[in-house]
Amino acid sequence: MTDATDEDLMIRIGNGDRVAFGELVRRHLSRAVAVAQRVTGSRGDAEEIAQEAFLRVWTKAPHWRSAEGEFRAARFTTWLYRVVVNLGIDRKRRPAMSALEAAGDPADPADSALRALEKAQLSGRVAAAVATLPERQRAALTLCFYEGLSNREAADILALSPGAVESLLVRARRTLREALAGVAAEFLEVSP
Amino acid sequence: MMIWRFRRLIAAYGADPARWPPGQRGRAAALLARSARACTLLAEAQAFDALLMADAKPPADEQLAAAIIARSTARPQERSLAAVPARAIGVDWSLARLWPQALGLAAAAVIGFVVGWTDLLPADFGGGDTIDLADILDAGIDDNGSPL
Repeated sequence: MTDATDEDLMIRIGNGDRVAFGELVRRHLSRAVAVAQRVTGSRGDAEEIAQEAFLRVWTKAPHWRSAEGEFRAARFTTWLYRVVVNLGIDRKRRPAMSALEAAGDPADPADSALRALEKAQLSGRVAAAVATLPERQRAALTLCFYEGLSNREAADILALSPGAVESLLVRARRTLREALAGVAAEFLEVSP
Repeated sequence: MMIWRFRRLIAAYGADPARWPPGQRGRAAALLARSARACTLLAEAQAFDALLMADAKPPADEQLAAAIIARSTARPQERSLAAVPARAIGVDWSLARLWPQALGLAAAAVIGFVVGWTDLLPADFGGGDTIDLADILDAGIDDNGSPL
């Protein structure tokens, strides 16, 4: 990894630099997959969305230099996560493809069996509650809470005002607090 | 900062000041320093944040990164307009490229002038069966102006 900014890497990628593309992919892939997974509720869909988003990065990178259009005007991260969120919302609106994926991720084998089971159950219940949120509330919560983007960055990505993003966050957390009220009581009992 | 604003702040962004809008962190910290109620609200929000973070997503693995890099770079990149020569996307008006067209145009003008000046064409060229404009305008209507 180098200290090059995303924008510097994009200029190199626009000249066909595969090394720069690899660095940009490794820098943003985990976050892109996590955002897509929270929006779609499916790890498999999330990985396909990340693949589609980075393919667009590669094919459209030459336009990064042209200073024209949405691609150049936006910061790279804003552009990338806007693509990921929009692809995720489109995917989420399609009929469900696999019931198996709804079972969630396998437990971490490093944990004890009981602890791993509790952790997986808790994770699954939180994920299920997040999945029931309206898509824009879910996207705002994902970007600001889970991925640590600023309110303003999330507003740019979702094409909303910062105030509207804040309202979405308030409603999302209020809904989750109600949905997870029982879980929260259990969680607080077992947490140190 | 008023307590109602602090309550809204953590209701939206949670308990971690790193997630709060930068312009409000200082005022929120000042409120926390003087308000026990604010500290209680913050502690409740910390517990709820920890619950939400139970749904942490695992990082993407190197295999996926390698697959994405390989599949993407196997595809051609779109060409940038900045990299395309001007003559490929528009008309090149430079004299160096236009002289054959200019020469042809000048030759046609000279020939036309000579033909007209010397009256080389036969007298009946283009004459005879002329079309009256009135016939065109009247086509399809009868003498009363009604459609046929």
